[in-house]
Amino acid sequence: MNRGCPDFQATCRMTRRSLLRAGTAGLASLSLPGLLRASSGSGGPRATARNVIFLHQFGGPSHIDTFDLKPDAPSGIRGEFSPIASAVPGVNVCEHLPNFAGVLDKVAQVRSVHHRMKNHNSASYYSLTGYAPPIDDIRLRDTQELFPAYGSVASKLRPSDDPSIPSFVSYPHVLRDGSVTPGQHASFLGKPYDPFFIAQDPNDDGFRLPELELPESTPLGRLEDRRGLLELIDRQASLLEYDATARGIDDFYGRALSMLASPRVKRAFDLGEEPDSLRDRYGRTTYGQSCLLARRLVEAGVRFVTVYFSRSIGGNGANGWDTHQDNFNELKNRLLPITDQTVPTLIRDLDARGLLDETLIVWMGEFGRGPRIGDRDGKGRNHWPSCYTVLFAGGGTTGGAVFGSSDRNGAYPATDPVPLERVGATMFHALGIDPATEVHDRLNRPLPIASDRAITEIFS
Amino acid sequence: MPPEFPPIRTRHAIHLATLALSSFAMPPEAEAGPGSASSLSIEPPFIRLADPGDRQQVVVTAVAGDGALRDVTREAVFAIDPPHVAQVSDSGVVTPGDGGSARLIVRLGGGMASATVSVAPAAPPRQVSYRQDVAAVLSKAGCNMGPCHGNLTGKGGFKLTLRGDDPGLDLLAMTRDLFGRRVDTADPDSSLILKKPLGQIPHEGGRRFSPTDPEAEILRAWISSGCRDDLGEVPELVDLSIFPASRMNASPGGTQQLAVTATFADGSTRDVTRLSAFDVDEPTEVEVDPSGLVRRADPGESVISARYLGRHAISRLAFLPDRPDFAWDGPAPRSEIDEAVFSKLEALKIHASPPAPDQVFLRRAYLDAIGLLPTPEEARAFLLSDAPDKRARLVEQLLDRPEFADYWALKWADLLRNEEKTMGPKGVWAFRRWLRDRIADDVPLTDLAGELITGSGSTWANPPASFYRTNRDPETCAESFGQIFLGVRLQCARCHNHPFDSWTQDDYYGLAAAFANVERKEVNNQRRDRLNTHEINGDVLIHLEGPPRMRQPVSGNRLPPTAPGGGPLDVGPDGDARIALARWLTESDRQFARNMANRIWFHLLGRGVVEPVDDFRASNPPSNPELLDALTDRFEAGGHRIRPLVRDIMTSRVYGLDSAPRPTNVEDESNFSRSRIKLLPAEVLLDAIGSALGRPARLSGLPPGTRAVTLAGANTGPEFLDAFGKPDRLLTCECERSEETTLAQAFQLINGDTVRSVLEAPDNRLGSLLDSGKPDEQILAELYLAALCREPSPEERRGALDHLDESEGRRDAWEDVAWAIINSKEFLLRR
Repeated sequence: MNRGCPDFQATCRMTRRSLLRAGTAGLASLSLPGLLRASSGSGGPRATARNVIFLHQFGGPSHIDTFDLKPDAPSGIRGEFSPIASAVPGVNVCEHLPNFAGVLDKVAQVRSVHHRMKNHNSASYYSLTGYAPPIDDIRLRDTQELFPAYGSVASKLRPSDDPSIPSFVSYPHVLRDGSVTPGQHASFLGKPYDPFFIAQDPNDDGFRLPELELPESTPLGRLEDRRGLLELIDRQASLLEYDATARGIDDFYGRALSMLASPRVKRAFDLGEEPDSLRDRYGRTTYGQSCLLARRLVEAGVRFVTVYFSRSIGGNGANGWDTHQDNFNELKNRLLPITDQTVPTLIRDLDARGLLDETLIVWMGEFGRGPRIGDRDGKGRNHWPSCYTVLFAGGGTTGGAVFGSSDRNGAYPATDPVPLERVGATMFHALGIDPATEVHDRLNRPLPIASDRAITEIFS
Repeated sequence: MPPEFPPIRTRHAIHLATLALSSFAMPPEAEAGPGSASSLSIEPPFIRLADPGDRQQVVVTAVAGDGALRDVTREAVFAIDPPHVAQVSDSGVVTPGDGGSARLIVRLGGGMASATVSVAPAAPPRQVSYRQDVAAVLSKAGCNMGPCHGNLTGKGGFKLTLRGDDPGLDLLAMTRDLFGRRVDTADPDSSLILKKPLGQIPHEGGRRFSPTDPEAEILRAWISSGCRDDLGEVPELVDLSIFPASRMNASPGGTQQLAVTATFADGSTRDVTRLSAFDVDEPTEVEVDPSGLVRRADPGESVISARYLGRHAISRLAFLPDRPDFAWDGPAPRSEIDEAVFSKLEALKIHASPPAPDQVFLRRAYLDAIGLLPTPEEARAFLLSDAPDKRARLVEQLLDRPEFADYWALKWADLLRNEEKTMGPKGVWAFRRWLRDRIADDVPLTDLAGELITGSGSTWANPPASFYRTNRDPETCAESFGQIFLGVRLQCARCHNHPFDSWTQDDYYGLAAAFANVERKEVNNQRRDRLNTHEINGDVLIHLEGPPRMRQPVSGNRLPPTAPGGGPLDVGPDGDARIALARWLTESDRQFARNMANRIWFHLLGRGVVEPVDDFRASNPPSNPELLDALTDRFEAGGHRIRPLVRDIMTSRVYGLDSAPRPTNVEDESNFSRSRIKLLPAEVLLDAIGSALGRPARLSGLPPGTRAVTLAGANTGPEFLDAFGKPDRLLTCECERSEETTLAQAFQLINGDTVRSVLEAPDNRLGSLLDSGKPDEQILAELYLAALCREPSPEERRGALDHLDESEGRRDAWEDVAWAIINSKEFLLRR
């Protein structure tokens, strides 16, 4: 790879990009954030986030019935819900999101996100990675040719400070629409950057992680005995002295054992430590307790937490946001109450603990929903990627900001259209990672982690 | 071994220059200081400058008494005699003066050499050329790199073609886009394409060159002469060469001056060192400055690629460590394979590790050849044998084992993507059985390839036809064909000419045309998801329909089937071009044999001579060309069969080396100076745990005792396999099998169900040993032999026995010991 002539390299040696390059090469990666912040003066507003909580609503939430209401649009478009005022003067929100109305002064809305993928798997992959899939089709296959999840990129470039804390945790579902939706793991970055995935429901009474639980027959003490015997054998061939693979295995053993032994990790997953009142406020739902868990994980030092709202696209009584039928009842009775209970609570909770500045929350789905009411049963809305709303909160973003706007029907961006690529770039930017940083795929092709720039306009 | 790599051309050039020196008859003084050398040579020995704009970079080499070469271009003192004919810079660049003939005299220490300089005043001086100069500058300055304006979407609104793929489009982008605002012919210095790279106005890419650099001068002159395109007026580039093309360089400073020469269609040549862009394989280790001076901080090997107007020239440089007392002490070579590896190691001043001890060799040979551990009886028999040829005999036994076919079929099943969704639950077993039988019969791989390429009919009745069940369109067929059979990645050429290789879109679509009329008829497909056409659980009939033709998307031409880099393929009366393609592959082209030999070497040594194994290209040359040639020769001599080459490799000295490094080879990754340490493949590891503990892990839905290596598909088997990197078989790439160590693996081994079920099974080896009433020491010895092929050391014995003494439950304590053994690095790794 030509990285420019040495003269050029010399002139740019102290730029952000070259520092990042050094960082990704393994040099000075620990002190990098400080350097970055010190030298990013001209690169727009400074990023303050240490962590990201990425909330993904599978199925595609209707933007027009939630955050981008069109009360003046014709009846076949505007829908059944009325706007109510929010904590931000002049900014309205759906009447079924009263708690959200109270925290919008901590939320930056981007109302002009757009792309062209109309199928759940292809659009979701796009929204989970920032890369357009090769085909817009339900058949999109999850291969290592596709791009890694945001969290995998973050865990490669900005791993957790404490090696016993996973860098990227995702739960409680594996998204699938027919087949597994691509974009939920490390793909070509390699298995070390896969998420620490939790398949259990945090809202279950018996919520626990089998990985972190030792069987009764093997208490910690016995494990330590075994470890002692193991070290004895490992000393014989002295493989650890000269082989990186052996050391790699040993490192992960150390991490696994310290996770098994560490009260810090176990406690992070122990929702029982939270007062019942707070657990109630988050909502006794899978989503509610998942978001509470996200806060605990971020407190423990996890860099990137992804919470999937539902396993399937749902709609029609299932769990997701794919409201082709009975859109308004589905939203009013099921989806919005959960959302309105949980997300504002998460924002307030992080804020009260002083964590909101260092934690970026992103709330989005794979697309919005079409302005014209009348899909299927006449009361649904169809998929709509051409314009929809994505929410950001914390992590240095400007509370109360509204960036970009849709046209009078909520159909297309009217001002400041924001390509979907910029959403991922914004998360990386917030974490202090230059979105132009390159990673290499299995054919060793250099690819930037985001192919567009961050939405720096929403940072202050 | 001579200090040069092939090709011969390089040696020839040195020879010429040395001749020039001797004809000058200036005896060099020995021992004249640190810069002294036995002789100096200059490349090129004859310098012709035909145009005022011409220049020639010379390369000065000092040849020591022992033949060691040092680049001294930057240390030497240059002079022109008579001086008015030409000028020469301190860095060895000769430029025209008044004209005539002269000598370039080079002095260093007491040494001296000379070259002839002739400056012929040409007719009209050459104009700055868009096609020859400006187009080169866009690459040289990096403007058209992928992360910059060469990006598919451009940068900052300015888009160039990737690495100058289409200079015509680039011309339009510079002179027409933005209403021509990027160039100002009246005032060239206010042109954006100058102000931006000079850093005079903000430029995201930074400052690319300075106002006095040739890049700026070329752009300025071209703009002021009206931004003309001179397509068809200047001769086309037909060849690009680099000096030195390969060299073992003993310079203590780690530098090497390069000189790049372009040859044009009219026969003229020109030094284009200053106009070439240089790419390096390891940007962190080595850098090349704009004048073509290579610097490498530490000893090691680098591949430098010079790029000029879409052509590449490769220089392979080895920077030798300073080891004056180095003496080669490796074992005597047993074959050409050993000779190739050892002679390169000796030239690089790298020692080979000593031969591995018997127990290490035993374990390695079993794991590599048949994917199994020896039983304690087999281990004992080998270790106690005194036969001098016992290693060769062991290899012979392993080649005859039925498990050999199981294990090598697994490797092919990965590559040919035998997975349930596309192949169907019945199809994976049919295909695996066919593969395994072909390998058990040791059919020539040429035949195997032919069967796969020409397969038709029912994929159940004729499993090799499944190649077209897996590869479902002509483009994918072409890519898989390139990757599997040629070891070449053609993917880039789907959308644009390959940026690092010679493959064009015509090559790509010409190859795809051979597959364009392959049709697939699904029979009895009862997929669960109507829309998911990847899921095929019934049979598929492969047949041909219509003539094979493919439209090249850029030119729009309909291309006939063409062998990549070869000629058009004969299309049979039934429209089948695949028979001719298979014949071309296996008969006319040696790349197939090179690729297969490299893959077999990769499977046994853990790294290809060309690495990655499916990335053969000029800019990724073999780390040891003689080795690849020797392997290819042996593969061909063995009738293109797997077993003969496996035998040759496993009985070589190189294969039998230990993995523990010595001071000189600790950094060596690519020269096979020691055995490579690797995590066992997922299936082999699971089987090894079962064999060490005397009870195979249960695989759901399969009879007890089934080994994981014999699983047909990709998605059967416990999660353990997934954690240890069993591939999903969705890519036609060895790289899909992960060798990475992960946290999930540690949890699998520490408290995973799969391992625990084997460890805690009452009827496992522990159970039978405890029942046998043997003393603890014997039980321990048996466990060690079964798992690690060796006896425990006194320290290990003491540790284990102490643990048994201190523990309450005897069975539990033994489980702890067994757990520690199967969790040890020695167990998990092949070394």
